[in-house]
Parts: sequence; C-alpha cells; structure tokens
Amino acid sequence: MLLSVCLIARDEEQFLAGCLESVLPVADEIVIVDTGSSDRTVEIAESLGCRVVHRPWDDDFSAARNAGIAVARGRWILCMDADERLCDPAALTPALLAASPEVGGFFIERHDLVTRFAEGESDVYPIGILRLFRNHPAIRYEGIVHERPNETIARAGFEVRGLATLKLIHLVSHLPQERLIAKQQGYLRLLDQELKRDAGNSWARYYRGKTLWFLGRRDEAEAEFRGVVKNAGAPVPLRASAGCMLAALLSETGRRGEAVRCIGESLALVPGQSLAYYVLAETLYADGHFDHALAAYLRVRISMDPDAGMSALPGDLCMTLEKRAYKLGCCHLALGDLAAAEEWFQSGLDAGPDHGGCHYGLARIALLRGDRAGARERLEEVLRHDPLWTAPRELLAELAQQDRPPALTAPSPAPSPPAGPQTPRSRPTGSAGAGSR
Amino acid sequence: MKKAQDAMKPIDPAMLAKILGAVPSSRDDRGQGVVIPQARFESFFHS
Repeated sequence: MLLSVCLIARDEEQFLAGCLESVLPVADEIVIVDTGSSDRTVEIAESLGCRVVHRPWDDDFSAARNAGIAVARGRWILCMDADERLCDPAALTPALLAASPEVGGFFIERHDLVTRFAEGESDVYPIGILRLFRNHPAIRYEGIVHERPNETIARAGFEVRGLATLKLIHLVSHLPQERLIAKQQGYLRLLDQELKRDAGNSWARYYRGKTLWFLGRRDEAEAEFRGVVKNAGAPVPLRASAGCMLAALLSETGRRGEAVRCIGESLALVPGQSLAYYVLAETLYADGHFDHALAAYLRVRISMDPDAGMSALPGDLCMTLEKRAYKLGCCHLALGDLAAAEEWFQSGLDAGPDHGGCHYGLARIALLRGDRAGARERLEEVLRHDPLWTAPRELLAELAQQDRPPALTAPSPAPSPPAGPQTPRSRPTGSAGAGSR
Repeated sequence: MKKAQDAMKPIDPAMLAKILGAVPSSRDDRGQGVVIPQARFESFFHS
C-alpha cells in the first residue's frame, strides 16, 4: 500500500466530503480520527470508505494526528484537514515512487484562500508546508497545537525535499470571522498550556506571536517574535521565519526602516527563502519605493515552479503567477508606466482569468486614458469575481454617479405662477425624486 | 518613546542595496502614478 491519507475531524460535515473526494483518486486508504463529532462527520466518512478511529478530544492535536498515523498502513502519509482540497493528485504517485531512500518527507504547497475583512478583497497565500512523509515509527507530530513532524523527520535521519507540483487548497475564507477568531483564541489557550510546561519552546513562542497578532495584541506578538529571533538555540529556519513575521508586523505599524533591517537578518539566516522578499516588497511598496518593490517582487518564488526549489522556512510564502503579475502591474502603475502596467495585468489574466486585482488594474488604466465605459466594464468584471471588494465597488458607484444624465426638468402642470420673488424649488422627495437626480 | 524613534527611522539604502543588489533605475522610485493600496499582513495569520 503506497499512500494513507490521515485526517483528524470533529463536526466537519460542511467540508469533509469535498476533502475526501479530492484524495480518493490517489489514496489507498483514508484514516479519520474523529474526536467527538455530533454532526454527520462519521456517517460521511464511512459512506466514502474511510477507516474511522474514535478518540476523545484531549486538547492535543499531535496526539490525535499520531493516533491516525499509528494505524495507517501506507508507506507514505499525507495529512490533511477537512477544509483542504488536494489539487492535481496525479502528481503524487510518481513523486512517491521516485523518492530516494534518504527522503523522509516533502514540503508541498498549501494555498490559503482568504478574504480580507476590512477591504473585502480576496487573495491567495501559497505557503510551503510539510504534510507528506514516510510512514516510519520515528516520524510523528509534535506540539499540542500547530503540530508539525518537521524535527522528527530530521531526528530520524531523513532529508526533506520540496514537491512543488502538489498543491492543497485551504478554504480559509469559507469560515466567518467570528469562527476564525474563536479558533485563534482556542489556539492561544493551548499554546499557553504548552508554554506552561516548557517556557523555552520556540515553536510555541513563534505561533503564539502569530496568534496574538491575529487577535490584535501587537506589542505582545512583537515580543514573542523578537524572542524567537534572538534565541540561538531555536531552529534556524524558525528564527528566520520569525524575523519575517517581525518585519511584517513592524512594517504594518509604520516602522519600515527597522522592518527592512529584520528582513536582511532573516535572509542572512536562510538565504534561499521567498517570504523575506515578499515582506520586503510589500514594505517597499507601502513606503513608496516602487522601483525597489518591483525588484523584490521579482525575487519571490512562483507557485508550483518545480525548478525554483522550496526552502525549509516555516510558512515560506510564494505567489501565483497572476498575483505576481498584479503586484508588478501595480508597481508600474504607481511609477506612471501605463504600458508596462497594462502588459503585466493582462499577463496576469492570461494566467488566471478570474483575478479581480488584474481586472481592477486595467480599470484604473482605462480611467487614466479617459475610457470610462471600458473602466466600468472592467469594474463590473472585478465584482463578478470579487463581490465583496469595496474599492472597485466604490469606484464603480462614483463613475455611475458622475455619468448619470443631467436632471430632467419636470413639465409644468399648471400655468406659470404670477410674477413675484423667486423661491428655491423644493427638493424632490420619495423614490422618484431620488432617482431623477 | 523607543517605538516613536523607530517609526522615524527611514529605510536604509545601504541595507536595501545589500539585500537587492543595485536596482538599475533611471526613474523616480517614488513614482508619479496611481497607487493601488496593497494587502495588509494580517492575511498571513488565518491558520
């Protein structure tokens, strides 16, 4: 048996079937550890032929994951969550069959699909994640939350490689904000438990920083990231990733000079990473250094590029072709080079015709060229793909307002009033009036 | 106070050159065009 797909689940009836259907073509078996579902999770799993292990939830994600791995029979394990989907599964089997004996695991890409709360713009964040590894007694998950097998693979004497032809889609944006916040609050509670047992656990410190930032506790998050960066005993890739997180946080709070210094330090720790260049590019763009931002965006690894190599940096980030084209188009637009901007936005749409950002960029160019009808068409296209994004919605409303025909003069129903001092006409009221302006 | 001082520190061109190498440009880096605001970093932290 080549591949066991292992999941842990509780009350995942909304997402589970989609996940299982995505792996059925390649999984020799699917093992689900159910930690106490009260919905149809188990029924769905069994109907699709999964082996279900029942295990009470005991505040330990690793223990639950390891319970599934312990009964898995495949030579390789792919761990997933119910809100993830495996794309291009055909790439998986050949890669596993070709793996040399020293390879213990693979980083694969997970594409987090998000919608930003404030702006409503959707986005995709592809990160490298270690989810595919050998079924070996020494390879197990560690950490009661944000569990990972990374270090046990190294301790077992194996190497980890990148497999950039395999992609998981993570449906983050399908969860409402309240549930995301509740999830993060749950993670924080577990991270605090973990740190109570082992205050020097740098993984827990790193993830605590991320969670605190998500929850808006920026000062505490900053302190956690700084602690990991300075901790010479922490794994180097983790320190480098914490340096990027710190840089992003500093950048977001306006301290961009210090952010760039942190990025330099992170790159000195792990030179081959992509995340640092992404944070740098966003920082430079925010600071108005558009030509330098261009150079930085061009150094970010392209998603699903098997030749680019994936680093061991936790959460190393890359960009889809269309997202990079959008960012480069934005840089050229800011520099006033409309022709180059147009070329990038158009190439982004060649790679991903649904990319709302590229349509928005082309709308802005159309507007600059005085093509208001073209701009409106593009903006409508943006909203078809990205209906919650406020900026194009507002721009479209503004254009519609400006392009409305002048107010019609109501026909006079009665003879002209007698001559006398003119008084301002009363404002129209009601829906007809509001629409006639 | 420290934060306020940090916020005032501009991006160091030497550090930038160290990271990116020389960026050949005849243009004004600050640009004169339309700026579409880009993502905020919170989006990293959904999982």
